[in-house]
Amino acid sequence: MNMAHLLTLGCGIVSLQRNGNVFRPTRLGLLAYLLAVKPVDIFPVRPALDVEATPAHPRRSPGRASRIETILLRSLVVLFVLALLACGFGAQHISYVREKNRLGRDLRRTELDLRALTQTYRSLEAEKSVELAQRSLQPPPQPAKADLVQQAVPAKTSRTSVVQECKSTPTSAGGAAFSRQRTRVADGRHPTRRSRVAGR
Amino acid sequence: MFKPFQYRRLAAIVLLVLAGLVWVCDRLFDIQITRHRELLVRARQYAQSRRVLEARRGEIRDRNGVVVAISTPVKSIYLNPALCSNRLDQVAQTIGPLLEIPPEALAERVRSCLQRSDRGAGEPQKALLLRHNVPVDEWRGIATALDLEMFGLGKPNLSAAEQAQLRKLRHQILFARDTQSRSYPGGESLCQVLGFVSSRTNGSGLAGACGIERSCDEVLAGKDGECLSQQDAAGNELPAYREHYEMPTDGNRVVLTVDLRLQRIVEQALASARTQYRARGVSAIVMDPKTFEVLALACCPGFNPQNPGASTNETWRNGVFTDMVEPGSILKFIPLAGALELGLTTLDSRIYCEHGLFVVNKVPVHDHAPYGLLTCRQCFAKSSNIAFSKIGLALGPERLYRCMTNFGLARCPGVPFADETSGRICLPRTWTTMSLTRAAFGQGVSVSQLQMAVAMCVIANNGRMMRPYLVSRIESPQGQILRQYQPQFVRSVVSPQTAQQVTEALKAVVSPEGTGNLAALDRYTVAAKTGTAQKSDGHSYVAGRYYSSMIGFFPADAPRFVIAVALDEPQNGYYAGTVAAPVFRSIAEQIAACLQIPPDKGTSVPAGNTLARPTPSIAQPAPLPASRVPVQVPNANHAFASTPKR
Repeated sequence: MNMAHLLTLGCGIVSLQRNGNVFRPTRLGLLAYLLAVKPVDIFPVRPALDVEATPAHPRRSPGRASRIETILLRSLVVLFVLALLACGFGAQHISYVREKNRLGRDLRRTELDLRALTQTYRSLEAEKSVELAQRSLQPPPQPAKADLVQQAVPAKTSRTSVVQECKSTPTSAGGAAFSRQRTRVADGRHPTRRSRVAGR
Repeated sequence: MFKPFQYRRLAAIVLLVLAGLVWVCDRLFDIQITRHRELLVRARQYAQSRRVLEARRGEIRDRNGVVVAISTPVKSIYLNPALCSNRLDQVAQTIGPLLEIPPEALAERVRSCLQRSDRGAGEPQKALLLRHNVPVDEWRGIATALDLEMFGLGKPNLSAAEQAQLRKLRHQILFARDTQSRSYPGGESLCQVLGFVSSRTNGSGLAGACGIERSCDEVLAGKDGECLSQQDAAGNELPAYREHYEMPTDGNRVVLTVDLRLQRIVEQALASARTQYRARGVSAIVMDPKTFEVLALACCPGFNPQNPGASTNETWRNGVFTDMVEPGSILKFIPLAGALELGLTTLDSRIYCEHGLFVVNKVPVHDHAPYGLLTCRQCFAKSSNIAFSKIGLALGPERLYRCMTNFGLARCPGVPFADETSGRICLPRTWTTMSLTRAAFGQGVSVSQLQMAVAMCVIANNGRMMRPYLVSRIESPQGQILRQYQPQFVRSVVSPQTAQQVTEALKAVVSPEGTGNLAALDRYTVAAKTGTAQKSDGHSYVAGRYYSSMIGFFPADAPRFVIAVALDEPQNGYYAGTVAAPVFRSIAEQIAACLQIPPDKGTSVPAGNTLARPTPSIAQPAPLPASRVPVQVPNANHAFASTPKR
């Protein structure tokens, strides 16, 4: 046997054991070979009616090299299948990610548009509120002059009397004689000695 | 069959493959297990983006729905310094005019930023803030103009790499971040109530710094959202890889009890009063005595909440709520109410005023004019300190203190408002006779203007105290009412009869013989009290520095508004009757005209708003509840001597 047979995959895999098997084609297609579970049994087809009469063909135990080749081939096949599956999943994942990104971009664009619109709406709303508030804060129309005069008359007399009263009161609310005796009270401490207070 | 050398070759190949597999496994183990955490962090740094989605701060409105504070979406514009390191001048020349920044100044800022990075002062700065609070429309204009800039792309003989770099420069040199700015449509109006906002410590969003903005910050701020996602090499978010997305919850709306129409009236009156009397500061508060709602509140001078830095810190403070002052004579209605409630006196009881000099424990008490024998009503109208010293002595420290605290002094009014003061009154066990006599006419105690307004509201509300409040309701951003604040009864301070008697005394103050006659209105009855308190510098009273105030309500028999006015250190006159009373009158007149209050002078007063209150005589005092039976105090007869001593 030659390991070179294993590597000849260009036009199919050459049968490993062809001697004496008249039913086996000399060259197997790759697919047929891959589907084969084990090496082809080279024993000829037994007569259907005379099973006992037909002498059993002695089965040859495969050699060590043959077993290694088989294992390697099977491993390759499994790897190949896995690679195919991975490629399939990979392609699917790529398309999934692309679609996801496209949707994300759309979402982002929509979000930005929505935000811009919200901002515009809120700006306009704020402007409107500011305008309304400023309008309501404008001074009211001045009352008629006659009303003002009418309201001012009684106040004038009373103000005069108060001014006179103020003049009659002591000029200083705190005399020099008592100023030394004052202490702090604004912070809630006890008032101690104090002078006269304004008291009105 | 294999030849031996073929077996060796095969074995060598297998060994090589195995060795390769072992190496791969080792690397995988190293990457996936040993350095997993470190590499995960690094990968996240490169790929993960975390964005805070700023919640919109809620509005503040007045009781009629007029917006007084609102958030406007704006942009903060940043520049990426790393992109323009080798084209600094070109970038500055192009971008400067768009942002209205001189190119030289812009270049200098970017250069200093780059130099900082080169010196190794921290990580290289990825963004340099160029302008903030840029309106959305303006940013759009800037972005469009930037797209039209060539950045030298039109030059011939540019390599593909250079073209790519210039395109990147054009698209990524400037970027903007969404943020918000706070607008106050009224300008300085209501500034001390509203307060202002500042940036949060993490740089995202706004936080209330003082006023209602601070008190109601949790309600107004809302809840920021968060977006955890992956980003591409250019820093663009990949929404397909969002790990966590939480929408922001906008802040709720706060509706105040303040009426902007009244607020405007008060502010105008205060501004003109400050000019006229050259006062250091003027403040006023208007309250509804039925509900204890704050209807208007102003302090002058104010500040612009949108630019608070332009004014001094003092103007930021809401003095009505936060400043402790010695109230002076406006406090006299509280001991009067206590004495009337306890049956220690009546309005017609006569008190000898010692002709202007009363010595208590060798310490004199003076009146501003010498009075002889006056009725209690007259003593109150003329604001006799001597008479109220005697009333204080009659009450005694314990009862006077209890009377004051029952009226809400020395207790936080509980509006609530940031830095609301509770005032200070010493415990009665530490009072001396002198402090007792002084406290009865408003010295030695510290109160806020709000506390005095609340105490006056108690009188106007037939002795029933409610909790004052400034926030009417909380609404969702869509206008749904989430919480409605109702008037909250606190306690009954004095009986309705006593309140009515105090009202009668307060009306006498505004009569022609009273100190507050300038506050009288033509078509409305007014009940008020004036007070001129000397100011202390911390050690002693200072001559020429006064705190003039007036507090009262109108119409007197069916109170609608309680008004408290205070002038701090007026220069053109200082007696409250001459400086505060006209301001009180002006505010009351304008409010009545604005709200079309039906006049009560010369017309019959609505029956439901008055109480038939017989005035108790000295011989037969009004029956008091068991808990209010007056306790005999020593020297009570001395305090209420009905005959002159000299």
